[in-house]
Amino acid sequence: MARVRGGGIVFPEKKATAGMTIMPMAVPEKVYIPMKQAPGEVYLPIVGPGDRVRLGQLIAEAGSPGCAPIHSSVSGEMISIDRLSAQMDKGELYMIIKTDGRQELDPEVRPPKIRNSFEFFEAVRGSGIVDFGRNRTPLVSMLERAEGKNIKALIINGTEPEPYVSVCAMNIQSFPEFLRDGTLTVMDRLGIPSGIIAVGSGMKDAISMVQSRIAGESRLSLFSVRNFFPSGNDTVLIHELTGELLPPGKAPEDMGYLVLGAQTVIKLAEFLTTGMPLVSRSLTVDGDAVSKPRNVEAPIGTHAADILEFCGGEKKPIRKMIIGGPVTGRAIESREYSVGKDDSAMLCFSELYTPHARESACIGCMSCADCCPMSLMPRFIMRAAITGDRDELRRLAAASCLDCGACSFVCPARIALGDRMKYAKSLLSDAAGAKAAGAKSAAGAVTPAGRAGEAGSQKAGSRPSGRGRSAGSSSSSKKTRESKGKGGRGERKK
Amino acid sequence: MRGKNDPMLAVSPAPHIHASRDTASIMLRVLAATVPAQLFALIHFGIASLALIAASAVLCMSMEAVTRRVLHRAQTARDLSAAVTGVLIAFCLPPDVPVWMLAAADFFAIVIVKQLFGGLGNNFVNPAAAGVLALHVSYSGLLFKGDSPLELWNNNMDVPSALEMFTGLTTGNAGEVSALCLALAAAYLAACGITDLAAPLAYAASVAVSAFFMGFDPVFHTLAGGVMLAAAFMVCDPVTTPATRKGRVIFSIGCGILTMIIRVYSPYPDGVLFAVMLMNIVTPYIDRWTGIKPLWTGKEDGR
Repeated sequence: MARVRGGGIVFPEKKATAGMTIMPMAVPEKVYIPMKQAPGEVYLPIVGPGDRVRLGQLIAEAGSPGCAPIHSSVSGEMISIDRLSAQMDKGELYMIIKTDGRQELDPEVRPPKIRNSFEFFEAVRGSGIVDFGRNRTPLVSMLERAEGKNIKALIINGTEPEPYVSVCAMNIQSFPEFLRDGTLTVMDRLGIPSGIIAVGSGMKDAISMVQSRIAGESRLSLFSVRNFFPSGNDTVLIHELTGELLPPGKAPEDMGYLVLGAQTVIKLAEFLTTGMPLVSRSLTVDGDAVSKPRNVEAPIGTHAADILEFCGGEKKPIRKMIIGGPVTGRAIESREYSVGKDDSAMLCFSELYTPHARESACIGCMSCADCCPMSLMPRFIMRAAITGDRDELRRLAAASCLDCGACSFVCPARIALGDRMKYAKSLLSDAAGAKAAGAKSAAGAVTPAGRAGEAGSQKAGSRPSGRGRSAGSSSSSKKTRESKGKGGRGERKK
Repeated sequence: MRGKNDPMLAVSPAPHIHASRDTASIMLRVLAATVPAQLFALIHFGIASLALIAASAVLCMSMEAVTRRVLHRAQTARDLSAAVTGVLIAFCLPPDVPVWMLAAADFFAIVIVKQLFGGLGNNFVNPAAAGVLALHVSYSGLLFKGDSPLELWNNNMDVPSALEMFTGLTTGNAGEVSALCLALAAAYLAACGITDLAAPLAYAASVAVSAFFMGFDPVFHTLAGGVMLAAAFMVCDPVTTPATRKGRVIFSIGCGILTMIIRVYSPYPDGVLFAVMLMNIVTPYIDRWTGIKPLWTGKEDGR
């Protein structure tokens, strides 16, 4: 299936949906727009049940700094704001809109008038555009973070190394002008001298399209990035393009680079030209259980079931549905999943693919080290994490792990190495936090260890005695030890 | 409006696809690499020899199954690593070895060395080497009959020619005699990407160079005894040898020197298995010296 090459995994370049034009989806009967797209987000709905909404109308304002406003993806009647118990993130609110199929445009949707930088930022803020592939960070936050820093180059990330997914290539291919204009606009507004458009080497058509569009533009350059996973990661991409290494914990802006997704700048250019906010998302629908694999432009809030129906329904009984690419995406537990602003694919498989269920012993083949983009040795990091040896973890540079999951993918023993790496990193941040800020931040850092599985939670229970001692007073340390001890026993009973 | 979970949909953490190579497929390829030597044993020593090899593999797998059962651990016989150990044990013993001795070696390798230390991946020495060595030190009188090339050499008698040694038309242990078949095995494993040729070549070269400096025939010593078998299957066993190619080369050079020291300065005829086992023990130290340098080597934040 895949060849392993030094520092990454090379997947076969052939994708079933490659070259398929993105088809706008027929408007479903109802859409369920998520009112919370990432942890910690707060939205303030500004329409109520019974209100009529139009396409592109603002329906919820951002209530906390890290979120982008939400616009209606359809025209119709707002029914209610309700919970859908089936969603992965239980108890979240969804705005349910009954569509009328007319897709009537909101009068507010018109090209923004931009005379100065302030108006540009305000327009981008109001567009609801998020940076794709960055956990739904609003584009305006990315731009604000970069503003005032001495940015050498704007890097446009147009790589798509995961199997199946082809929407990024199709978006670039369909809108090369938007890609160029969006890139130039951001460069002009932030005073960035040069722009690098990085496209995966597999996207031949996209490369030639972009090449012809940027021919006369001396500030822009096109790079074809060798096709390997995880070439789309910021650290890997910057290293591939410039040879510079982004230290862990640092953002690209700190090193003088601003990295934006290719689809983000395409959406930005589209918004600046037409005024249409982010109301739809293009998705690759593929997998052996889909009758007609295709690239689809779906209104945000469309249920997975409706998208599947648009793609001819299921060919075989679906046993697994994945949102995003097969290596980094997440499995959904219900067909009532609502498409969010950041989704890139919906993959349906008739097989279970639960590799974690068959985990066996490490035989030391070092496939994990061979494919690690940071030249780490996950085998030894896993071992050091189990014994809680933080000095060894530092020696092995565990903190520079990118969480790409390549090691989990290749492991012949099917060990969930990615989870062990996360746990190892939590041990390090735990230790650093304890030194820097005392027990409070350390307790916070322990929580992610719970996800690292059995070994992780047991260690988290038995470890903190040392920290308790360093904290100072004997009575408090005793308390810590007791309470942690109880927790540890509880863990073991399970 | 209440949604419902689809009971048919499986949920698991990423990644959702996986490289096709798994432990069993690796072990299957190693077993395939032993086929030429097995066929040679069939032609050269007769059907009884092949039967012993098969019996050893079956014994190892069943011992592993029983031990895991007794220890209340998940069954692992399906990963075929016990079969590999079984075949290698039979390869290192004479073609007419009594079945009870074969079973004793299998028991020591699988139950004591492998399973009591935690099973596959946790044994710190090569189980096959340890199993055979247990027999060697316990029953050397029964195992060494004085007619193998190394014993002839040890007793200052005439040894077979290099060509005979290379093709395997000599007396010796069931799977060790034919250097040609074992070279084929090493080449096959390298072609499959399971091992690389650096360690086997370093081992053979180290034996030859050591022999040369000690004043003996380097070709004879490279072809005699278990050198080629260890080169193909033991110095590149991922579990008990260093992690990096550089580490495995150091490991193999050490094995070669130790092999010749034992051959020359001890009454024990073949030093290969002892050399491998001694180097197995220093593997963690070699690993420490020869790890892959991480791309990022700075201090992490907050320290």
